[in-house]
Amino acid sequence: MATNETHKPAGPRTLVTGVGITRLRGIRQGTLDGLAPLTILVGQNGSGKSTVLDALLIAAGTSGPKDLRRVIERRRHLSIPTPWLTWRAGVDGASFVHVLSGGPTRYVEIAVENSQLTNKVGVTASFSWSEDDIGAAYDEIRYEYDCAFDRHGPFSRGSGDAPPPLDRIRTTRLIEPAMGSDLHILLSEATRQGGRRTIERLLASVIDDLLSVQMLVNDVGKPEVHLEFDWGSVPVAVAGDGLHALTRLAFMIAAPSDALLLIEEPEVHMHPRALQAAARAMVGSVKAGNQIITSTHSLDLIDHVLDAAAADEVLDDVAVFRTLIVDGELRSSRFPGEEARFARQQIEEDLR
Amino acid sequence: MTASQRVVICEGYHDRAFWKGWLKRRGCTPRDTDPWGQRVKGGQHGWHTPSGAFVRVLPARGDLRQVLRFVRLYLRNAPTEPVPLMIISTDADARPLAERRVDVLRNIKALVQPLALGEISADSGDLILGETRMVPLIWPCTLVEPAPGIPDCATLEQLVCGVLTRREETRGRQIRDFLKTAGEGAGWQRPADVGKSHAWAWMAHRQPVDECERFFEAPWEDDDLAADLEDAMGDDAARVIELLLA
Repeated sequence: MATNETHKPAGPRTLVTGVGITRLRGIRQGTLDGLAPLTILVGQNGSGKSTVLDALLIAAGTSGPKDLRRVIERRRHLSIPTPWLTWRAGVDGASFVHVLSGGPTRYVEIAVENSQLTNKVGVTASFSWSEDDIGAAYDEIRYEYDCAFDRHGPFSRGSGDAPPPLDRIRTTRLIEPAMGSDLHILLSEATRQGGRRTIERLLASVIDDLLSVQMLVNDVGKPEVHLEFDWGSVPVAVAGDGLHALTRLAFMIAAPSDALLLIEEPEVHMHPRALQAAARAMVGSVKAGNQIITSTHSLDLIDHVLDAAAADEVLDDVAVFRTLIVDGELRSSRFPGEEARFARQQIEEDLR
Repeated sequence: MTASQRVVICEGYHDRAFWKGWLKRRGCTPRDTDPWGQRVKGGQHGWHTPSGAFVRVLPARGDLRQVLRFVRLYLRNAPTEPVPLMIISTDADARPLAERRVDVLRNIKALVQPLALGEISADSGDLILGETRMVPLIWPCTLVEPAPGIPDCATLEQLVCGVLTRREETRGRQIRDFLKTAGEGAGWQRPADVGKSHAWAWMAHRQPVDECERFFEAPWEDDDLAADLEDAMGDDAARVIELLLA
């Protein structure tokens, strides 16, 4: 087993306390206030959960153009996704997002230009610390999609200063069960950041007889993450979709602290036992000083998170938001952890 | 049209049974799912009013304090699952009716203010928060004439036993005498002279083979008793049922 566990737990913290959205995807207008260190977004399909994660990635992201591209391209069922980043494809104007943190508020304007002359769709995200000052943005990110050749890019940064990270946020990650970097890259990062033992403990709780997680090289010389047992090892890739999803989740939330982790429906492919492990890992990550904002349709996941948080006496650090969009307006009901648990235990309230 | 629900938060299963009888009498039919397609469970009952509204009756399984926890929960939930009408149904217990009503309203105010859910205002003796009208309904003691067999404390038991005693005075006297004077012997202890003992004694007479919830529901199936119940509950209750059914 790796023993590179140098991180000292930092304790729960709220890196982002609220987000405001104007004309982004299916949300015409709305805010979420009172985000907790571990925030669970629930609601029917089309209730704005994913758009809230998009908004947070754009405005509180730490990877600039990559984050913007991720938001645009992760709606893969759209052949030309760019215009639909804005409400009603931009006919009512640009999108605005702002995120509240312990420090200053960050404002972002997202404008989409559709050029019939060049057959290109461009997106410009302009960042500012002041709502009145977006025109004089300190930084810009530009993204283009060439409709004629189905080609993305180029991405460019504006000439201003690079956007300083939002108060205390070291890294922001959007985690989707089946998307993102290769596992071996994620494992390398997690190992470098001292999270490997945490990962192995988590996986061992749902995989009987697991000895360790190893990076091996396959027959064609490419790195591959393996689960090692006393009889040999198997690539994670062939261990089943659920284990693959849990492994990916474990790798990505093993950040040491000050990470904003945006997780899209972590329950996909997972057995309830794996979900329980995932919930424990999420609570552990929050206790280590990260903030998690996750969407879900799983009552099992909600219950496991609430139980794990109660067991670790951090129920105050959990909040469940039920979201709903009415005529483009984002509405939400906020349940603090203790009340969410009360609702689940007393009347089996279907918080989804 | 945005879906919404009317919520009755009561103390326990006996109150739920009483509401069941009342709503059925007023033409409501049971519903297994709420307006958002979710199953009504966790001890709750769902009802469809003749006007097409959905009513959820929720037993809090506790006293006023527990009832108020659910008031808070449904107020929090109201932005996404609107509750235009919330009935807080509780006993007066040892308090005078008017005093108890004020007490409930004061508790709700104290509960809501720290939540920062919005400004709370008063209207017709109700509280309004956002789109939600909160109306306390205290099981009242409008049975002005003391009668044999009626428990002293103002509870749901008093209400039902009182109405039954009006119709069957002899049985009421027998119950009173039994609870006050029955001898005690080996293996036998006289029940305490409290509301529940009165109710059980009446139940032994009227629904000896049914569960106790039937005792609180069944009076609504008798035209005379139903009329007596509505008469005994007074104007507050008449207003509440009209609001629920509107």
